[in-house]
Amino acid sequence: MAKLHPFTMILFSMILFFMALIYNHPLYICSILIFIVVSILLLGEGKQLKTTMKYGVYTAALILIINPLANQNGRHILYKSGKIPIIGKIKITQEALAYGGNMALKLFCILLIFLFYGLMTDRDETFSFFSKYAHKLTLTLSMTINIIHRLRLEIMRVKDVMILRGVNFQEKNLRKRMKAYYPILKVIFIASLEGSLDQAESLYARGYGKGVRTSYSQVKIKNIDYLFHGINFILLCFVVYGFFLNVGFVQFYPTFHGFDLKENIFLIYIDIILVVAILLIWGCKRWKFLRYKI
Amino acid sequence: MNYGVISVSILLISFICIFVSYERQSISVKEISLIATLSALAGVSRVPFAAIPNVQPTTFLVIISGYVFGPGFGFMVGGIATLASNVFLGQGPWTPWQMLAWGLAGFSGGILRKFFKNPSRLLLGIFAFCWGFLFDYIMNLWHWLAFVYPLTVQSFIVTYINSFYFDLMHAVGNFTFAYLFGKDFINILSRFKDRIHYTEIPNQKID
Repeated sequence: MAKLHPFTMILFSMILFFMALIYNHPLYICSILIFIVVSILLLGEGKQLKTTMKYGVYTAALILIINPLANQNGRHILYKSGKIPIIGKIKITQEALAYGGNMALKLFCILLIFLFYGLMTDRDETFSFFSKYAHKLTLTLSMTINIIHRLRLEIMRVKDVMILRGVNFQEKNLRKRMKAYYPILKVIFIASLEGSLDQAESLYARGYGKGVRTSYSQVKIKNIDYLFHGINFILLCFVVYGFFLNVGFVQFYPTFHGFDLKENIFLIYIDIILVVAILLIWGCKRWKFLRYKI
Repeated sequence: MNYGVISVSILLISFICIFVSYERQSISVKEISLIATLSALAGVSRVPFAAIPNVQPTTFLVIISGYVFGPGFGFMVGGIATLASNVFLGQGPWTPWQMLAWGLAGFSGGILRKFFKNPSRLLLGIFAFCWGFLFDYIMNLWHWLAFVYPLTVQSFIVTYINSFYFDLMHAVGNFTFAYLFGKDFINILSRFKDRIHYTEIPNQKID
């Protein structure tokens, strides 16, 4: 699938991100989550989905534990403990568990939005997009990434030299091994700092900072970007409108209030927009006609 | 009110302000490339220690660079190190908070210099130790604000107790790095600072 323009995607993921943060209605969050998961699967990146999920499991578990422990509200009590010093009595309620589960869903949602952004855009295009407005920052960042790659080679080089000189890195004793590694650290540190000055001089010699920067290529706004901007606009309108209607909120405490009809109807509108976005992604991937048009 | 949203918004706006001010500064190419190198070093050092949870020399390196080159420089090193290393380790909602935490670590390193011109090993160690805890506290803060309800002292304590051992690991790691390598690295960096800074002698004096 053709990658989207960074700005389109930044706007789209920002809206999704704030939707995920603002709403605490489980159905709202679920529909955002399902939308992102389906789109990632449509893009054929199930593997990355799994690894990101793994990242999230630990924090989600933490949320699931903390919420019931910290929150004493709720009518349906599952467990009641005796007095514990400092913290006091602990009571675990069904509502608090449900709230924790809801928050864990939210967390997954937010995690996957970041992955979704990465899959829908090209990293280089994001870079060149930002370099237009913040060229010092992007220059620093791209130099950093470049140096990270170079450092790996540098470490290997220094290590080889040290081994030739008779340093034993496979020392059993941890203390001795650390002593063997320490000089590497220092050499790398000094060498890379030295290298940075060379790099600066070469940038200077090529006339960096002597005028307006030119660019080799420009990121073009394609047809699909216009379509997504349309989706962005409608979604944003709905979110703002929903904010005034005060939808997307559910009361968990003291008891779960259930789902309001008005909220469910509003959710259908949002879901229609999200389904259109999914269809668009699917179309760009599978439907030849749309693929050539876009 | 939703504090998760508010905190994220404030954070984003403040980052935009900081980065705009960085763009507008008349910063030399050598400084840019030094920031890049130090960030790369700090970022890359997260990788080899990944086996031991939460022990990495990044915090210490950021503090040291802030100490030698000043608060603003330290903040940028912290921020860029996070951004660049997360390109490989995975971006996520934690990125802005890590940027904030490491940026502030660098910033505070610069402020430390204003009070202690020649710090002892122990002082550096203790400073880094405190940052081990502070760093994780900042990271936990969003967790607490966005995902825990109600926002009471009790829920705060429970959230922080949960991560106590991780924080301790981080702090002890920091202390070790700062105690063992702090002085050496400060000397190396100071030499580079002297090399990139120069003062112009007015023309009249040369004549």
